[in-house]
Amino acid sequence: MNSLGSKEQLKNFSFVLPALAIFSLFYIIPFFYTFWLALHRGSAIYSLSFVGAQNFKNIFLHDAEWWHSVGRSFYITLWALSFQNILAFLLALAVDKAIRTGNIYRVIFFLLPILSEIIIGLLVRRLLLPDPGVFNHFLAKIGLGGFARDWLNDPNTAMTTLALTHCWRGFGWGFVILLAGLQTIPQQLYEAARVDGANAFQRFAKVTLPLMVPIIFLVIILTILGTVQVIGLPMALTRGGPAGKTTVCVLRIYNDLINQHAGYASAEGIILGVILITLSFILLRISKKLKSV
Amino acid sequence: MKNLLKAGVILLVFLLSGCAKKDEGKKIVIWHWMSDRQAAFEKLAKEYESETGIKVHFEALPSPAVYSQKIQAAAAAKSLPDLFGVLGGKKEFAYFIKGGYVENLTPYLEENHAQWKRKFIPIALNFNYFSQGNSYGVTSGYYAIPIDSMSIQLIYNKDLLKKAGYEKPPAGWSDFLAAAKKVSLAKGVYGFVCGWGENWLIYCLVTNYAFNIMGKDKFFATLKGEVPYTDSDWVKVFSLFKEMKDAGILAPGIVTMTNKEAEQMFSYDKAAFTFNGSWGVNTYAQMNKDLHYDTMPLPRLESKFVPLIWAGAGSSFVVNSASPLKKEAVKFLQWLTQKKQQLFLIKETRNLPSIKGCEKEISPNMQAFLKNLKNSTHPNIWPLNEEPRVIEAINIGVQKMVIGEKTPEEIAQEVEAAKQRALTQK
Repeated sequence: MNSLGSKEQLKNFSFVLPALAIFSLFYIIPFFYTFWLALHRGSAIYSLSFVGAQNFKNIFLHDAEWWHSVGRSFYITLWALSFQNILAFLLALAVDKAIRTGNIYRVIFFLLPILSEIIIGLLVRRLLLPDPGVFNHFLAKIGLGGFARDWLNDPNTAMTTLALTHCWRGFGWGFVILLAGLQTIPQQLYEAARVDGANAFQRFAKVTLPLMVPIIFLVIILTILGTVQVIGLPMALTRGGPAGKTTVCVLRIYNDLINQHAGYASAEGIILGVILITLSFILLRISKKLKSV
Repeated sequence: MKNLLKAGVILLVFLLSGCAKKDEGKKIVIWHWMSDRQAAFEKLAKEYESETGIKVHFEALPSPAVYSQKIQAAAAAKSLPDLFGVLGGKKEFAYFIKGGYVENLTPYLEENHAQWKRKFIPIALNFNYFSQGNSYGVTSGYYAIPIDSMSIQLIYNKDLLKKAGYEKPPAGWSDFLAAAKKVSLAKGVYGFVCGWGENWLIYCLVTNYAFNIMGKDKFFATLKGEVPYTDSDWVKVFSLFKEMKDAGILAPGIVTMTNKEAEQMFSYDKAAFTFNGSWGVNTYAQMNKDLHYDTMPLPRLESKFVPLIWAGAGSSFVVNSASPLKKEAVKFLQWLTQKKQQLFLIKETRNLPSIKGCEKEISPNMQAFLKNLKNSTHPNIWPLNEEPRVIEAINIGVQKMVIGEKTPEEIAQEVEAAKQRALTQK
């Protein structure tokens, strides 16, 4: 009976073995390899020298530019959390009311997020470049020529231009999730509120918003994770310039990698990972508390 | 159920066998990253097979990044092909050599009174040379064979300069600024364009003029940490970029501009001068067949030293020291660097030859990039190189100056601070 059981177990195990092998090869081993790499100086396997926690020490004590790049990532995140998500929520509310044409809007708004960051970046770059200056020309045409500037090369506007482009590309994600959430709210609740004399704002504040809290927090977490890890857009739009003004943290990690600092880049990646996990954990806790209230 | 299990095991064995080294027999296997040249390589491989009976298989990998990872993994697994290229700087190349993966090709180059060695354009071959007592700890010798070469030069638009009243390109720095300024008076035309969004082009120009202003000894003394970047000569180097900005000759958006965008702008007769590599010939030919341009020596600053441009090997192949077909691989490289094969490669790929004697048979635009090589250098042949963090500080510093954020003196201080940090961490 025992041998039959172990035979059966072995057979069962053989079914999961390919998946386990692939998972280990592409997820578990690289995960631990990153930690191992972070304790070394150099890049490729053959050029590494063990430095212990020196990379982490340098990042925390001497590398102000790394923390600036983290700050830039969170600057874009703030834009995404506010402007992008509010826009997504407003559009989701509007489409939720006009549900017959909802599918068309879903497709339209979801088109941008499914396009590559690089394509969006190159497209926007073409529009904003001072030569030929398509966007500036458009501004002049509508009588706003005074606002024309070198959007991508002016240190005062480059970062906000990047953030707005990111929001423009990304609001479709939030829109689709929030719309799906809105459609799960039972209509009877709105009808009951209406019978009780609640106006549109009260129905929104007392019915829609409380029931949407878990979805909103999900969108917030996804926005933070997605925005802090943005790399393709700044690469295509500004290459991190002018003078590093749009070098976000993941772009900096990438730059360090190609400059033969794989150990250092791994340490930066781990720190970023810890920041993101901590943030997500805090947000989940808040969400749970709000839900219970 | 049993059949399903068997199928699973067969699939797993099939998948894993893909990772193992295949027995290629007598076929020379070459890994490379130049997918645009695969067709030309395959034609050459066929010709070589018909001449010698030895098969050559060129395997192109999708991108330089994938290629780099693959050769690193293959080196660790001791499954490198017979011939391959090493991407990256000399430091990375040195690690491959010290790891015992690369054959020292000096004996082959020196045999028959250095017949093979004498064929090459010196800067192209020296690109892969490790001198006696080099800082990388590599036994001196030649470890790679260039199959083409490149140079990065100042290029001028003949028509725009002529329109502005210049029959010849300016020779001195102030004349250059004046000429560029005069050309940029025309609407929609700029004095100078360059892909400074790709930082390395800034560092290249910085070093070119550092050699002009302070000479080799002081330049390398800075790299060693013996001369600070706050030295007046370095401030003078950084000031050149400010002078370009102040003269109003820089194309708008230059600090985030890619090299491709700069090439396009220059192709459309929108800039009088550009600073670009010989690979630009391709873009210029594709975008504007009527573009009339030439290279020129870098406009000199008054000094006893001359500016040095970057030139060297374009792409190089190394021989796997553990390959059973080592000698056959070397013979193939000797065949590949003969005039007939080189001319074929030039025609197909529009790259400069790595050997001498092809000049008369290539287009005038390509000939232009073979000029001015007398005063050339490259980080690959320097006895030591600057730390990447310091190079980053120089590139970002110059960008800051161009956007009007910092002065040359402030940049010099920032670069020196980066240098001190790098020295401490070392």
